[in-house]
Amino acid sequence: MLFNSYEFIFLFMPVVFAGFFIIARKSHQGSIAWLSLASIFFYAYWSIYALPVIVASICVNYWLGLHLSNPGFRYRQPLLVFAITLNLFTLGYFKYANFFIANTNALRNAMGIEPIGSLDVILPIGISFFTFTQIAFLVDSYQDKVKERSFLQYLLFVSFFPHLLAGPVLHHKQMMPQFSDPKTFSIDYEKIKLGIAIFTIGLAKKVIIADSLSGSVDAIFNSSTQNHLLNFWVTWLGALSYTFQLYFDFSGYSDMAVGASLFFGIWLPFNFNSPFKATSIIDFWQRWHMTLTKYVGEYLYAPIALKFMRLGQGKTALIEILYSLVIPTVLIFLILGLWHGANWTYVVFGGMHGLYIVINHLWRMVFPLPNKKNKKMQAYRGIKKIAGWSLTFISVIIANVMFRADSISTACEIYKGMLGLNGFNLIAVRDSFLGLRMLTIILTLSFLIILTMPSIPTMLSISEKNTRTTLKLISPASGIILGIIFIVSIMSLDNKSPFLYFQF
Amino acid sequence: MFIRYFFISAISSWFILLSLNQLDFVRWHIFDPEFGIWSAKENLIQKVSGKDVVLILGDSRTSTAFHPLENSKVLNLSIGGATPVEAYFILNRLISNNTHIEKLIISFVPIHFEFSENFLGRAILFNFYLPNEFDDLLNQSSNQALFGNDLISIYSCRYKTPNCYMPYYKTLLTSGYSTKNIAIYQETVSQNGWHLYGENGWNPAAKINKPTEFQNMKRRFIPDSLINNYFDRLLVLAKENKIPITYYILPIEQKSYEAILKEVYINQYFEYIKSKDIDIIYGGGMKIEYVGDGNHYNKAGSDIITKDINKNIINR
Repeated sequence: MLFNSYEFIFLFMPVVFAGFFIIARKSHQGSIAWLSLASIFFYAYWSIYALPVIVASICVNYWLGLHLSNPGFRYRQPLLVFAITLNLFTLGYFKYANFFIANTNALRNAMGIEPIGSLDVILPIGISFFTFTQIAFLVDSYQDKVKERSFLQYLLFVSFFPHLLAGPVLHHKQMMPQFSDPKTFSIDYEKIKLGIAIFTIGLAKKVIIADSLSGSVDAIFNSSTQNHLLNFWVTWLGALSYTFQLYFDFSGYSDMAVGASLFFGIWLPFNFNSPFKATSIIDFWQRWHMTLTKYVGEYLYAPIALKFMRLGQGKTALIEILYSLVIPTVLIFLILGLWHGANWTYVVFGGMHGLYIVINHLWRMVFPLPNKKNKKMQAYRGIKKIAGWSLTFISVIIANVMFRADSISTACEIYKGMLGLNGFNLIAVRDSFLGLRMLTIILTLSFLIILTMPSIPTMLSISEKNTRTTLKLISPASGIILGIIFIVSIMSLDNKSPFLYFQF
Repeated sequence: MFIRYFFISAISSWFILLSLNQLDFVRWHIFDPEFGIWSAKENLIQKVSGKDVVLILGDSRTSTAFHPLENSKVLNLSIGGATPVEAYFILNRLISNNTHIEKLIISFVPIHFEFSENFLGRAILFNFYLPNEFDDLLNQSSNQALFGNDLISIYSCRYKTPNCYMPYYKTLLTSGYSTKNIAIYQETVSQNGWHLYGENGWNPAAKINKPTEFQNMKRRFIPDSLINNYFDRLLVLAKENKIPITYYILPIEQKSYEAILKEVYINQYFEYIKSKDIDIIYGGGMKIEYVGDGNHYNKAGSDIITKDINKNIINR
């Protein structure tokens, strides 16, 4: 069931919403059970075959978590290693086994050895997300950071349908307290209003913008595209279209997840904060897929960087930089790339971003930001900001080519075009894109939105000091505008397509 | 207040869109020039009331094949994506209009006996069926899903609801299709139903770069029961009105010929047509310079076929 489907919006959501608050009058635990059951149904609706995987994963991890948080248990550390290995093995089996076999076979082929047969496995949707979520829970259980012990709450935390398939990556600290807060179980109209507003914005991002770009993106990234058409203009336009498609698709999904969750009075963390306003690549990753960045920073980067930093201590400055910055950063981004999918393109994508971050850090070391009070430097700051924004935006577009291409060779073909090696013929643009005028309009609209509109988290954080912005989001005027946007989006659902991040 | 305004606005928008969809000029603007072609054919049905015509019925390939330039009696009412279902209704309407049909020439590509690719996207969307025809179609069909389209989608498009029309509204952001639609409509009416696709037609992007769409991996040619039923009714209706029928098997362009499964789309298809006990003429093969795109003839191709038909059917 897609968020952008009639059955979700007009059937699933109203039934689950009504059931949740009716049951909550009698029993809070009952309504948590109801929401968990609904979430399991939501998941099974996607793939009944993957249901045993998620249910087994939840039960086993809950049991492991109980033992890990038991201070009297003697084998906590080995159990943690076992628990994490088990999770990674499960993820590896479903997601990477065939990738590993394919690469082994390539090697065996080169050596003249008979290849191994591939495994007949179906990737359970959302496995990367629920595995990461649960590993964090296990680590925190080991570190005695987990307060809530209820199985029902844990079940809901992992399976809660708004985040289940493509995030945001949740942390139990953010979620579990909300499940035990009595306020969650009474209807909060302010949250419902915000939920409607945020869900509608997300729906429009997906249906009106992202889906309108998919045809143009496919035309360029489809490997059957004739090479002579992949010239400078066509490839840059295709890469730009994909960058916007990915952003509006994924941020649209994330907004819909936050919006849907607010109907039940539950806040999910935001995943995006105007990433294309970033003026550096470090800034970009603090705004793009924020929950994953935070997770990786806390559970992967920190321990790995610490280990490497110790190795580099007391060595020359260059070696120290290598150990404390270059190796951990690139390594983390390689893992992050591979997390997205079993393809070398994702690994290269991660490597590219890792290098971007390293360069950005080195740049900051060599050219630190000028003092804000120094008026002479104001003009310089402005130019630096514009240059930084342009460079960041272009770097992201370039890396996204690797992210979207089905193979490294396809990506290389597109890079050739982007470098102008296939010429600069403008007529090829007309031949490559059906509805070029429409594409131009959608891209212009996308630019306007990413550069001028405040992000939802920005609006909400401003509201803490000054409630006007939130009020604007749920004012009668915005009700009228969002009502129109909602109906236009809903009426466009006949050509619905799944979210891009579902494949990860 | 927010929720109230949100719902009032959403519901009002839905009704405004529904109302807009009923306006003819909106439809001329948002639909691609196929709409102009379908409208031209509907207009021609009315226009020839009481006249003598040599009628040609078929699909898009047929509509580009026979031109009336040498014989003003020829009326080409073939429509892109049409099946014998639409052909039956056209013949029925002409007979009801007292049009005297001297001869009937029919030609469809094999896939248009197997399924209706444009049932929802054109025939229903363009409101081609009259109310009694629509009821007839629903009565004849034993399926809840007509040609793979569920009844909700069919009724939505039939009654022009916003969800059906919304994808086409995007053209409002650009200059739309009105000019092209009007031009192709006028051209099609003035040429008694003949028009071109491909290189010289309304969609120049569809150049010859791929073989015909009826390249298929199917092992058997299996006509759809509903389409077959209407094909039989079409033949019976013509025979009842003493209209001589000729089935003209149009030539296939070389590249497409190489791509198709001969056993399925030549032998089994021919057998099927032969089983209908009607006169058949085989059009033979055709070089690539006579087609505008993989599926349709250009003017030179059309000239050859028109000459052949004049010689072998009309002036026989």
